[in-house]
Amino acid sequence: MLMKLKNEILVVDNIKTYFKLDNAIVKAVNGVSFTLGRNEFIGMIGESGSGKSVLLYTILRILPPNAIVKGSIIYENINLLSIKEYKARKIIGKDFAYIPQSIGQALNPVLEVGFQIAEKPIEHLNYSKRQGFKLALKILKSLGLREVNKTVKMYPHELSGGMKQRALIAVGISIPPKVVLADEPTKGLDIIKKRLVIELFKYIRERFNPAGIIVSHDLSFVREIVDKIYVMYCGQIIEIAPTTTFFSKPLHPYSQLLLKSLPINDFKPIPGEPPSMINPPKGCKFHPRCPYANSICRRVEPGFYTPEHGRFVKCHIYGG
Amino acid sequence: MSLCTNYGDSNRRSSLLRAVGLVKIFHHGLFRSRKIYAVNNVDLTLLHGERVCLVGESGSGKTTLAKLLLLILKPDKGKVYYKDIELTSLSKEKLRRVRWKLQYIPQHPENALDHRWKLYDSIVEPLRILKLTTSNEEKRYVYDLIGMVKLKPEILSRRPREVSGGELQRAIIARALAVKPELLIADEPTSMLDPSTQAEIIHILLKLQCRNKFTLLFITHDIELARHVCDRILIMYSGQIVEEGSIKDVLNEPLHPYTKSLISVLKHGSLIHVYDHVEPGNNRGCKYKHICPYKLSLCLQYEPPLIRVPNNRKVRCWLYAHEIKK
Amino acid sequence: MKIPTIMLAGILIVASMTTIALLAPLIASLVPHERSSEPFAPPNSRNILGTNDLGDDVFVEIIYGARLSMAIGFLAALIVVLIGLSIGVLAGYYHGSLIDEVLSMITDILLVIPVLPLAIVLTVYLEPSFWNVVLVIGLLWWPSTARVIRARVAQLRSMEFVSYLKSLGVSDLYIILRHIVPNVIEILIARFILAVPKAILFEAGLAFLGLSDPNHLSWGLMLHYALTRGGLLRGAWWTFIPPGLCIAITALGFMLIGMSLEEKISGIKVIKVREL
Repeated sequence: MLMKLKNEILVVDNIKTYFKLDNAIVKAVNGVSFTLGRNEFIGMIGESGSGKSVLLYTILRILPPNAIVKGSIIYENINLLSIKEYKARKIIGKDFAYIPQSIGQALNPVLEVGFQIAEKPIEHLNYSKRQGFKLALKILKSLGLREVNKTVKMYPHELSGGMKQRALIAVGISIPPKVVLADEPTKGLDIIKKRLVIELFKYIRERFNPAGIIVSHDLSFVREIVDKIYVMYCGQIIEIAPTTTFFSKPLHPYSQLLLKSLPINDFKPIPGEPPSMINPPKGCKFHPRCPYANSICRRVEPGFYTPEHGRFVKCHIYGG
Repeated sequence: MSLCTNYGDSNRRSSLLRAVGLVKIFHHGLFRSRKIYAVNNVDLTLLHGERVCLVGESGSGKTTLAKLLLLILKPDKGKVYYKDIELTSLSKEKLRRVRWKLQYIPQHPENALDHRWKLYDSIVEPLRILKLTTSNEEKRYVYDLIGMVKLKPEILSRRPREVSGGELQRAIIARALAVKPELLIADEPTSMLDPSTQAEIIHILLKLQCRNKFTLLFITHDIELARHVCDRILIMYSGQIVEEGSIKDVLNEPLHPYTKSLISVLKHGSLIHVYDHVEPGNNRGCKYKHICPYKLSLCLQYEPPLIRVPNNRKVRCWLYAHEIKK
Repeated sequence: MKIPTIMLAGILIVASMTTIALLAPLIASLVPHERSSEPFAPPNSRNILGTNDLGDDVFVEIIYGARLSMAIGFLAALIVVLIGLSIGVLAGYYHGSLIDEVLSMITDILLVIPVLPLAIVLTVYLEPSFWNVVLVIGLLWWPSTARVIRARVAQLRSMEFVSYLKSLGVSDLYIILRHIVPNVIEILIARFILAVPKAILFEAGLAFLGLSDPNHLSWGLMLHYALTRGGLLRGAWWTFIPPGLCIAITALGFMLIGMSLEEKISGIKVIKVREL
């Protein structure tokens, strides 16, 4: 892949993240490569178990000790995976905004909300406590919270769900982020709250123009805020497409079945079982469930083909 | 998508569960001074073999209502009738004898089963407690149940932490169905799962409902999902039922302003107003008044009753006051 | 389950000491020992660890002392754990009720009172005997276990599966015996293992002060005699270093096991295979 460093902020090269269990190796991420543009938001979609969350943890270097990682992640000419952990932490802590799953548990219950928002600037930009709190007030106001003076002194359990959401995002954007990484930000939320999250992400994009990787299986959410869709299956990327064309014309058979399984469409479940991550299928990883599978799919892993400009599919149907 | 349409005229079906005037108040704050009306005067009827959806956002009181219906929580006011028996006045012993016929699938599967028990033992437990099978038939019965929810027998020897969310939820469904319940309340059973698993589990649930003909109360915040699941829908807001009707009618022609805004979010992705959560208190007037674009001065003072409207529908809104018959 | 090295070291120590304790007569018969006429004899070919003020072989005393110290340790720890379990389960299961309030109050009071002085007072008041020592330790150490168990039980009680079982109409006893207790066994085992060395050290302390049963020669009592019968003054190291060392090493062994167990229990959760 040609590295055009001017426009790319993150280059992910052949990442493999494996987990060592007692008597098996789980190949959670099995060869993922892509580049992320400086102001580009991508949505990583796929079933649970497809490896999308693990990919995020790999970039953030927050994997458990039994993880083995190969490959490189280049951010501003530095390979985040090869430098010492404390150095990576400094860079990641400052430039990357991580918005985790389970918003309820992501905030520290014994620290005031304002303090948690101020933590990053105090740590990385040498703000004083007072400056940090003033910044927290400003951010919360800009996110649409009323009574910010009261809120800033509250503890997480005193906030309503919507307020917690915004507090969590405030933590993420307390230093203008260069890359936003979000893990299932709408999991378990109802329509009204999802709307709120969409508005918040739109605000972040407008205000800071960062790059972003949004991992989610909530397609209606992802559709509203990302430029490109990356589909993950069994630890690999199997399709890349601009958002609008993805939804109007999905190319990979899995993508097609995935869209059909939504309640807003046919609500037809995808046949078969999710693949084993310990013993993934030979050839194309999707062939056991694919309605179009034939003998080559069972034997040979497909390459990444480009049937149209800007679109990539890992499927023999589109092979030369 | 409806798998069995052999309902016949719903007027001929008898009521399975009937709730009248249910109220549940939670006390929060210093010295328990703040009162939250989680369920605020709800009437509800579920007929035999029906598929009903209860739709509302988080905080609307749906789970509290479900727990009241199952007598997991005690109502502060109101009664619950199962067939003709008044459950709310039964002694503990008598209640024990009927309660197991009403089963519940929780939203978060993680703590619904004992973490140390193998799935087999958890599924078989209600059978043993209620003495529904003999020890010879037990194994076969469980294998059949597992097959119905499309799980492989190998999974029976695993523990909850060793299986995926979708598999766990299916095991919980198997356990609920083991006792052959007459009512199954599924409380957002798939909101934590990804879309393809969601589709599969709901299909299984509906197929089983068709076969075993139990009444299904499906609770969700996703009105789009409700379209595929039920025939009748109840919209809940701030502890009250604000609209009731057949799914087709409500989706095509929403009556209550809140329902209208939900449908518009669905169709156009726009929301009339994004607001901070307002606690369901018991102040005067309609509970939706602070956002409603159609509000009248009447709405500020008086709470609208649930008004009957043609086509077997109900709305809690003064805009339909003309439909009130003397 | 991979056993970490620390735990292995601890297991080794404990296993050796337990074996010594169990096989005391056998070991004693294999080793030359005779009641020498010479008191305070240094280690020699007839008495491996020398003799004490009465001319008794120190090595034999150490071996039989192991029996006593281990027995006291295990028994006292057992009492601690049994009482702690019962009270913890009751308080936690009926969390928020009167029972919980009363039990928690008792627990808290006992936690505040300094145990060693209280134990000394009690043993002075009661006759010093083997069982009294065991009981004093057991009845005073249970509160911290009860606290931990109560917290865990209260947490378990609020889980969905408990309300499910209640809706089936099962008795509280069923839920407690078949669901609550199995889920606290891990904690219980860790607490037991950590209570044993505490008890051994405690007994050694009481014995050293002369408050234990003079008929039962524990390591602590050996230290006591070393002090009071002149062994210390004479510099007869073999009368006090061996028992002291034994106490320390045994306690260490248990602590190593107990602490690495607690680490495992409260450590990182296993990632579910499918959820990756």
